[in-house]
Amino acid sequence: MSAHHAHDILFPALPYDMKPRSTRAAGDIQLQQFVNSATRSKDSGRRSTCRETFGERYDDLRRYAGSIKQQTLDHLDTHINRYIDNAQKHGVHVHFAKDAAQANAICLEIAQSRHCHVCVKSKSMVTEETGLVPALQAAGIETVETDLGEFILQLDDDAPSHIVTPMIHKDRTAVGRAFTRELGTPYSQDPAELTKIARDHMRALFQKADLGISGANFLIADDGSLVLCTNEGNADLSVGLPRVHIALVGIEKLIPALSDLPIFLKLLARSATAQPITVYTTIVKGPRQPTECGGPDEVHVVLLDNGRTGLLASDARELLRCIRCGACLNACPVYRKVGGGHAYGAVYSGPIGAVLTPALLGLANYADLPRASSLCGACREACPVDIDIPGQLIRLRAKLVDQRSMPWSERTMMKAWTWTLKTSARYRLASRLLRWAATHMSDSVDAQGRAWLKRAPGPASGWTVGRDLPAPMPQSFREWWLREHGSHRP
Amino acid sequence: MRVALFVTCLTDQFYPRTGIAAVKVLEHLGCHVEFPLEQTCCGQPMYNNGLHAQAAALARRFVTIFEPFEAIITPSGSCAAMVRRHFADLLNSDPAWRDRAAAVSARTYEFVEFLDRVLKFNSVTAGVRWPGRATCHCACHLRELGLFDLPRHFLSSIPGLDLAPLAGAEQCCGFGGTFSVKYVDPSMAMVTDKVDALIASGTTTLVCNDAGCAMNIEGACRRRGVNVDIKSIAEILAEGLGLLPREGHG
Amino acid sequence: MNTPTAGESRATFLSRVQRALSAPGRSPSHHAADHTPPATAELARLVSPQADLPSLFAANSAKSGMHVHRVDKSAIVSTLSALLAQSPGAQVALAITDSVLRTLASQALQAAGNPGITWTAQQSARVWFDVDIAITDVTAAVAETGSLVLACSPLLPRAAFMVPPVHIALVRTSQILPDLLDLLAGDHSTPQGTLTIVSGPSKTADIEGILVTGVHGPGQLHVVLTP
Repeated sequence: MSAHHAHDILFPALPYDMKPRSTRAAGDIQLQQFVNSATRSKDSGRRSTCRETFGERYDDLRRYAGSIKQQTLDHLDTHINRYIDNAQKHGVHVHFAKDAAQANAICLEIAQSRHCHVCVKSKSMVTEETGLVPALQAAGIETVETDLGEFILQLDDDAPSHIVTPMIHKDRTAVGRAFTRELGTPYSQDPAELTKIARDHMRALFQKADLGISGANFLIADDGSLVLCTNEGNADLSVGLPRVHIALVGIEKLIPALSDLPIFLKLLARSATAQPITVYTTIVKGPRQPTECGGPDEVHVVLLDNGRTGLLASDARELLRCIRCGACLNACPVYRKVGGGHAYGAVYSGPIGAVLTPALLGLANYADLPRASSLCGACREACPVDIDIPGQLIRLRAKLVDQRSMPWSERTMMKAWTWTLKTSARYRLASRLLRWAATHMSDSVDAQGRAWLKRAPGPASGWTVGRDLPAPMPQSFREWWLREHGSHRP
Repeated sequence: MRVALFVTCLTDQFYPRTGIAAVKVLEHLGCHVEFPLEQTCCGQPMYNNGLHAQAAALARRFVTIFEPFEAIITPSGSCAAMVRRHFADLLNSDPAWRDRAAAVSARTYEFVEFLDRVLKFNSVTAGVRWPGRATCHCACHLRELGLFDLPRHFLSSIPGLDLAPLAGAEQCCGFGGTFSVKYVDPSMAMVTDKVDALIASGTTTLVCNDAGCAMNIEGACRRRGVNVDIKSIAEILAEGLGLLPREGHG
Repeated sequence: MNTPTAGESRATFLSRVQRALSAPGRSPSHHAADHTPPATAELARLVSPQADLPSLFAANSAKSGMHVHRVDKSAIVSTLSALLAQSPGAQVALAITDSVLRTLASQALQAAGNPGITWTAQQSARVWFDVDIAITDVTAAVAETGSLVLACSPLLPRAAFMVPPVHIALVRTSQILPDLLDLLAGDHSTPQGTLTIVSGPSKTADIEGILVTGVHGPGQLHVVLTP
């Protein structure tokens, strides 16, 4: 991956072909095992903590959380208006960005007009979406990612491969090398030592920073506050120390009331990292109030659309419920195998990426993503806001068929198959033909009398890359039934 | 009870013994089993690939064929989930079919589900005995029916059967229908995990209640020279009740 | 305030949202009302008000990695001075709103022979970068998660509990709320202003999933819990 730059990893040439990256990731046994064990342990941690904590209530709770978000989305205009009015009461400046370019321009204009030179940034997927950091840096504003994982990626000009644990694809030796090369510190591969190096480096920056940038985990309509959840404490420092703070926030982050927040806090950290709550949960009302001491002079919230109203207007609206916990990535067997190689080709990866990216950036550009799933449903089971990801994948597949984006050969084959299945006579004839052909091509027969193929032709050839393919049995169930019972049941 | 067996295409062609076992077990339990010969496919491959008009045609066909029966039983979790969960997506907008489809969906059961939930089957009182060690792969589509753990619970109650845990049992085997031939890299990596887990389980008998998963895992085992006996729960029960001879290496 | 010229107006932005909401032909939300459970936030309650809150708080804050010292009121000074004596020469700062607790903490400093500093609102937040140990009180605590809740005040800036490597928090058992639901009810009982809910020492597992404490916030957190 080091041959790529961060931007090319998340914004590849379109239409995006998933195969090269997924082949490379699946072929890198070390990477795959690494990501596999990390995601599996997070997934099993999530399962056990959710089961132990909520017991029988768990499914009802995630449906309830999903319904809160859904109802908010269904009346999003009202909630945005309430949020703006309430945030302004605390002195927050609210801005409106239609797309990435506008969002970056707003942030840049704020930074420049306030003469900010050093920016401490906390982790935010939405800033990846808009490419904010390169935009600030191009304008001469020194911008440092302060989340440890994002900081390391920034040093390596690499991109996040996971929503919550962005450098899940890197090991400690890569971190040690990056620090030695970029910070000039002696090589170490001890995580505690490496963390200390990063801490020391960033403390100097926190002291001189005049701009803090974050996203937000939630915006609360009825009291105009924004909520930041982190484990490291970097978001608190970036909102607490510099004189100007900007939060870039997608409009799907709204929840109606402060009293709804506990439900999401309880689900978010358990789903993400099997913690009861993130170490730091900060509910920011706005700039420093008269009763407060410390905190920014100005707080700006930039509300971002960037394709979200398109989702809102579509039958994919439920995707906007996502609280970015990453549980579906950890649960997904496909992500476990190829996610470490940035195979999803966009900012959001894993199951949620597979449905969100085509919806935001065009299905024709990302036709592979909805197809590259076994529809096992683990993502749906893991989702704390009950998003029907497999259903959305199938919906996108149907759209591909409607748009004639399914290859002609495949479509024709599926239609011919359907035609065959429409009468049992055709089905019987076709299965006899298949059995005859497969038995002829087979190279061995097992103890049950089943013939096996080592190499299958045409569309089935993918199967036999690493698996033998069975031929139909010499006697089908139907043939047995007819022999035993005749054509009619007595 | 007059029940219909929906055997499914893959079971019909590749694992007919599962269908035979299901018939024998259901008859043993007093059901009057019929096999409507007109049946073919529930339309799942078309539905999953987005050909919803084609899937709907097959769904209507399924409804017509299976309507006359008190219960429709299938030895496949994914086909049961197709009928139960997705026929509604396909046919709800059609007033002529909506209620008929819903009625058939409500009477369609996965084989183990039918035994457990409808017949209240108890393997001890039923006199099942299946001495031996086995492990269990739960088919993912049972998740949609809220039955993911049922096969494991069911097997662990069978006298004589020593159920070995399977590491990473919650992870898909990588079949996923056309996914297995179109996205070979992740699919192969997934089935490799499953074969590794099977080897680590210390048994060669894998109980698997879905023909697609069975083909995938058995095919991968054969390629790697790993010994495996794949059996459905219907076969375990039929063998354990003496309705079919015990088969397999162990 | 000079408004940036970039971006859209509120009206333009919201009209696009409204258009999206009224888009024709959008199939109804998957989230059909029939499978949404009738529920209130109480569904998420994990701790009832009748529970033994001090014990639960102590157990959960210990689970999150805090060191909990559950002592009698009369032992606050000795507990604090014992903690301070472990780090001779450390720069200690007090940021305590409650005057009784502030006095007790000052006595502890004296007892430990540590000059210490008491924060005043006139100082710059940068001061905290030279502090090794901060002693604060809290606005509230939550038994469910073992969390400390800190609201800023002229005597307690945010930097106090975020910047120094060691944080000692003074908590009274009467401040413990059962559940996050009770903290964030959104009514008059919810503390005003910016709130930070602290649930353990600063943590990361970004490098190979290995847990390391003390990334940006304090790596060591002591709770002195008194009736």
